[in-house]
Amino acid sequence: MADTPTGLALVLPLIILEFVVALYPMGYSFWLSIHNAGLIGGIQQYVGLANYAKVFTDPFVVDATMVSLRFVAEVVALVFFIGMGLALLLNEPLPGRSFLKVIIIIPWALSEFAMAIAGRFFLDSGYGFLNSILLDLHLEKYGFLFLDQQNSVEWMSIFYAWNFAPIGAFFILSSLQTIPEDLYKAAKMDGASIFSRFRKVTFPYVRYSVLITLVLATIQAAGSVVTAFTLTGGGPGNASEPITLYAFTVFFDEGNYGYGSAISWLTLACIAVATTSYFLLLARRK
Amino acid sequence: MVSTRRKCTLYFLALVAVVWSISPVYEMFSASFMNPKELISHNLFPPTPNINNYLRLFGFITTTAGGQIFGLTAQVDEGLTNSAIVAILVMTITMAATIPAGYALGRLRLRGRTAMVGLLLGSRTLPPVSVALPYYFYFTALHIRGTIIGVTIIQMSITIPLVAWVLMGFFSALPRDIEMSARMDGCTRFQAFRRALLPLAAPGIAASAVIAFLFSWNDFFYSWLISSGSPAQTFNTSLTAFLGQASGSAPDPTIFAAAVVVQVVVAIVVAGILQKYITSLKIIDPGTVAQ
Repeated sequence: MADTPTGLALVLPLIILEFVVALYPMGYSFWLSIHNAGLIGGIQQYVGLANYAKVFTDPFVVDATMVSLRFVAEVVALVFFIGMGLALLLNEPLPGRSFLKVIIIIPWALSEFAMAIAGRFFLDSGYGFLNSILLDLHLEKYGFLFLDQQNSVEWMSIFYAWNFAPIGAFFILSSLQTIPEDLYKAAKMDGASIFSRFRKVTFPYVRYSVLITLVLATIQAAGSVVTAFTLTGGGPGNASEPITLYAFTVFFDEGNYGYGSAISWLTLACIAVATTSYFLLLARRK
Repeated sequence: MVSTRRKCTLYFLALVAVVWSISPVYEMFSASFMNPKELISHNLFPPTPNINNYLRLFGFITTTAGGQIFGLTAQVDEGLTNSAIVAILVMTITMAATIPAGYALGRLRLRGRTAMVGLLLGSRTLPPVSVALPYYFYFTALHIRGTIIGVTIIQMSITIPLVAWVLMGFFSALPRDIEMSARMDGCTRFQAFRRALLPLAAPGIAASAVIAFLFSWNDFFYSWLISSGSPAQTFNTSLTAFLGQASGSAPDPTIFAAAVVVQVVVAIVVAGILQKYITSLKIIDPGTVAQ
């Protein structure tokens, strides 16, 4: 281990920087979460775990958690089907495939913020694209409110998956291309149906990249706040307000810093548990 | 016959994929070439295509089609300048800091390498909302909230671990012999790095620089947190002025569309450069780039 001193000299400054910029504020947020700290009065009094206890009795937390779970589950399902579908399509020897590849990667090039704005333009009840089409085809008389009480979470999930699926498709495609052609021929000769060919031949090869894609989709979607903030603003009412946005509202609109920190720490703990178990799963299967 | 039918199905599916991928983007493009009246009377194509929205956005025409909106375009212009400055700062400093670290982690035999990687990447798994509030206070206390420096630092807290990780993988995949033979010929470690390894690593370094730039340009959450309402606000942050909370209440949807198109086109052009490196670099954290 002769290189250790040089290596430390090159890496340590960055670790210190990460500590100062990222980890120290985390500690401060934990300190806030066990204090009664707020915008009004600015009293900072030690309250122990009271803020954490409050999380479990707050009805808004229950609603927001349900929205988060629904959002993550829908995003993961959509990313799986769309990513897989796009990858299988791109694996076919179509003329103009490289052009198709460029078109399909476009949604990924949009930031989460730009994606959410695209969603607004697509769904707006006044001037949205979907409404324009429906009105032009005389399928409806007035602009339809897509982002309503029932469906706004689904629209969030669809646009999130629209944004995320291309990179998943590219991951899956790169493992699809490692499958030897002979395997398909052999399976065809054995008279295997399309479905069983997919299950027996294709899927074992792409399982790892599918898993990685879905792990990333889960982590990213669970921590996402920008989609809800920009596309629906959590509304109507709080019908599409995930737990991340609720914590944010508690911080900045209600000015209840201690309680907001407690919510965000519990969210962090849930995401950390999910992430760790995913990675254990990945390590075991590799 | 079976093969023709299969071909037709594939073409149809390809068409579906194209429509799925571009229709939300198309909507903003077409809206940016209309005036608000044309947009609201549900046109799918601009009936009288013109670039007035872009001219208004960059201040060449000072009134909007719907009347004057005070200070809005000035804010957006300022945001554009700030974003360009921040993105270049973030890219430059990130690369200067991560090339040595990526080299050390990817190539040297280190004691405690796993611990170092863990410490460096640990903060990357935090959901943004968990760090938002502490950042807000911390940056206020240091008097760098609402400054270009503050935005640069907060974005680097993401780009540095991400790019260090990408470069680590890239450096470790380069052939070992080249550096070794340079050392044998009497080069110092630094000379061997600069003369033998760096030219080979150039494509990976270029792609990493693009990742850093793209993150900074696309970032909304962190820069909004630090720069909202200040003279240092970034382009994305300045666009929140167009977001009415209720549906259909954007003050001027067509200028908004033009502004988002500018944001997206820059990102697409830059991401286009990156596209051919995506699989070779094994970027396992695409979401960060996508944010």
